[in-house]
Amino acid sequence: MSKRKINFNISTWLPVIIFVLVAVIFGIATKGSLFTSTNLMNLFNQSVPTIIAGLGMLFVAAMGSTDITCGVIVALVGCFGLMASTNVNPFFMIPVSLLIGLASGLLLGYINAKRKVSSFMASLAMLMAYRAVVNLMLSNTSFYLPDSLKFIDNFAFKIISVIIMVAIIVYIFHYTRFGVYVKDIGENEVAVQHTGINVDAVKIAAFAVSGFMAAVAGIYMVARLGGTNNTIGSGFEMKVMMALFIAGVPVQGGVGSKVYKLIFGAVIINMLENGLVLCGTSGAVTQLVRGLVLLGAVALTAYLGKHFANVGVEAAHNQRENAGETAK
Amino acid sequence: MAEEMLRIEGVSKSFGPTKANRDVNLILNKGTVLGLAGENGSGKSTLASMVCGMLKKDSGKFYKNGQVYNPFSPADAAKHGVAMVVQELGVIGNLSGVVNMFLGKMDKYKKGPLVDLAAMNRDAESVFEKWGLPKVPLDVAAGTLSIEQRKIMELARALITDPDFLVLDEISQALSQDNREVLYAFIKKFISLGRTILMVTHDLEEMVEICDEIAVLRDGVIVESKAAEKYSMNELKRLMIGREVSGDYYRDDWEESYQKEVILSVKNLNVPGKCENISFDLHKGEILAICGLSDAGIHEVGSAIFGLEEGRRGKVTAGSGHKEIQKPGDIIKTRGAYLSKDRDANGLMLDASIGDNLILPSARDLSGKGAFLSPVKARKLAQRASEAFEIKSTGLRHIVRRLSGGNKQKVNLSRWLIKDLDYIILDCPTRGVDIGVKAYIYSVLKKAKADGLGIIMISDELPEAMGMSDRILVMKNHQFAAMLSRNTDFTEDKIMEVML
Repeated sequence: MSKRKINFNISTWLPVIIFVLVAVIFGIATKGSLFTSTNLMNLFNQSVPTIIAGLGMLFVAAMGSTDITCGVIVALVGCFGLMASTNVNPFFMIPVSLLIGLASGLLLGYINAKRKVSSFMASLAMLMAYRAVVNLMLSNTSFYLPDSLKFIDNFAFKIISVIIMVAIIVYIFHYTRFGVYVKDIGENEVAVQHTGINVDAVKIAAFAVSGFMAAVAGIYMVARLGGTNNTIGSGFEMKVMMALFIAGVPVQGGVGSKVYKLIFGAVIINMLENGLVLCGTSGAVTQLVRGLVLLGAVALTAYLGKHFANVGVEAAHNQRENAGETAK
Repeated sequence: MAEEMLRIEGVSKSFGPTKANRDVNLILNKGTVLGLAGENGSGKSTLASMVCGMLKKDSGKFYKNGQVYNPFSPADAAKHGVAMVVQELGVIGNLSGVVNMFLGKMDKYKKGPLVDLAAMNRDAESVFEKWGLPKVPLDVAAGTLSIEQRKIMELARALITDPDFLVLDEISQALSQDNREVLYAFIKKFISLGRTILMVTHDLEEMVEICDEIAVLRDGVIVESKAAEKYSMNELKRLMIGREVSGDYYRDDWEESYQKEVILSVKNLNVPGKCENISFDLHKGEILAICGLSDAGIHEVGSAIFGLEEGRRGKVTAGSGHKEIQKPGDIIKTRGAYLSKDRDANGLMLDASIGDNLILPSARDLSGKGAFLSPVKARKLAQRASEAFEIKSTGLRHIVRRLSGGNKQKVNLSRWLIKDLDYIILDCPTRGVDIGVKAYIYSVLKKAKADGLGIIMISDELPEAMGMSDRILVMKNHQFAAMLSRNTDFTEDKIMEVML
């Protein structure tokens, strides 16, 4: 029964293909300066927050929902986290930040799951409100990172902590039933509900993870910047979303969502931006290229999903039969 | 002598392997009403849809007024004077009544880039007046109208094109007695002008009374067609459902048999507008069928027990501990399961693989320490389910959408039956599956019954309910009508009598 077959699935390899493509194109366009050690270091530093926030957003994206609050959570972390560390104790920044992210995620999850507001609308509203709070707080003050927290931006600490985080999320997302439910909700929420699973609780938990990881990403970003201002994190949510979708995480969610796709996506999107800057393109052109590449990647993912999924020998016959049943 | 309006000659239609219509021949005369009788799925609606251009026929011919008539769309059919009132409510709730009535027919009312609403209103009014239909408010959103008003509006909509051939599919079901009288008066007036009506209805008494001629369809074939007064009610029923029950297909014993232990107890189950005061006990090793006409509320009983219906009252308890069931999770905790009628929308994840689908209900049981869900264990379970139920596929990674209806249902059933359950609620378990899989599902149910599983089988098909169950709970108008026993009561006549 169980034959070992070579199962080449194009969707599986899509992130790698795009990665190589972008690397080669910009490697040539920048005449190799993309791969100098200083630039690789830059690329790493830029990719870390994208990966971390993406690890959380993946749970929301897998359900087919949207959470665009991660950029503004970064700003909240900068504002209130540093406020706590300046006024109370330097290390207070970390728990305060994490609590802010968790609370925001729980609130968004509650609004979406229990109050049935679309997650996009709810998170858009929250984004606007939070941003206003940050602007109010930082209008005539600024906060700086205390020296005792500078270790966060240390290369060794960063790489080790990121690896640990990725390992934990891979475990939760791929090897626990919470991860399975999250992806299954993206496939068919009603079907999951019909198996007696508390869909609302799963949803709220997924949003909580997303908010929490956004706060973690915020800590790294603030540490990198050495302080905060009221524009920190703006546009970050779009970057994280691009990281997810550019590497083939299905926009409608479901079992095609994979952690490795996010990691490739995060590096791809940062390499793209970094490469464009090195080529000396203007900001406007960078935006244009980002938009076009995302559109292309999403369209390609949808096309591949439709035409190259596992097709059996009976597929054609069955599809005809199904069409007949639907017509009835 | 009667003049011919529509002639149907050798028309066939199949959906995949299912033959919905086979070599149908009928003649409809001017000034008459022809009734189409038949069970659910006998091909009545298919035939009606083909006449109206909603479906394409595979072979055969239609002649209207002696000329070949081959409609490719409802609009094309309307040009030939054919109109239809469909079974499912076909109105767009947020648009006003007038706009609904003239959907697709607005070209006539174009005034530059706009449409002339006033003229549409005038024409709509005149249709109601001409045919003596009760007034329906047309300026409000159609969704706020009652079902009855909507039906009348749909009838008026069909009459806008002034057809000489009208198809009425289950129209009277939604109407109360006084509006039925209005409908009957309309029908008389319509045919007195030398026009023709093709009528589909489940109400056999109405059919005998209204129709001039009745044709009986069974499994897509016309088994009888003659003047209405020549039928007796019993003959009509027998012709409709009287197929022989083959021996090993269903159960071959004729005795009620189950253990004493009650496994699921339903007391005074109420859902406003859907079911009223339903009470029964399900025993270990029992198959309890729930039957009724299509709007009797049988499907709602299933989802209400599961805890999906809003505003449910009454008490549902399961197991020896009498644990109360209130929300979907409780059924799973008491080792039960519920499979909805709409397996594609409510049961399966169509774009996920067979493996993903098979694992979903067992994810909780499979996870071990640290919530670890072992992929090896999961694959083994999926393998076991897939082999035990002979799911035909290229492997566990096969996408469910690409499976046939029968194999989809096998996936849906197997993932529950592979678990150690005490009871299961199945809503139309054999809907949309072919004969082979049907027989297979019956054999699985027989085995599950022998193992002591309590089964509630909600069914549209009487032969199936009679063939498989120990007792049949019959519902009528959302209420309990009768509880029949396999020992004595299982004859079609008896069941139809309580049902109708």
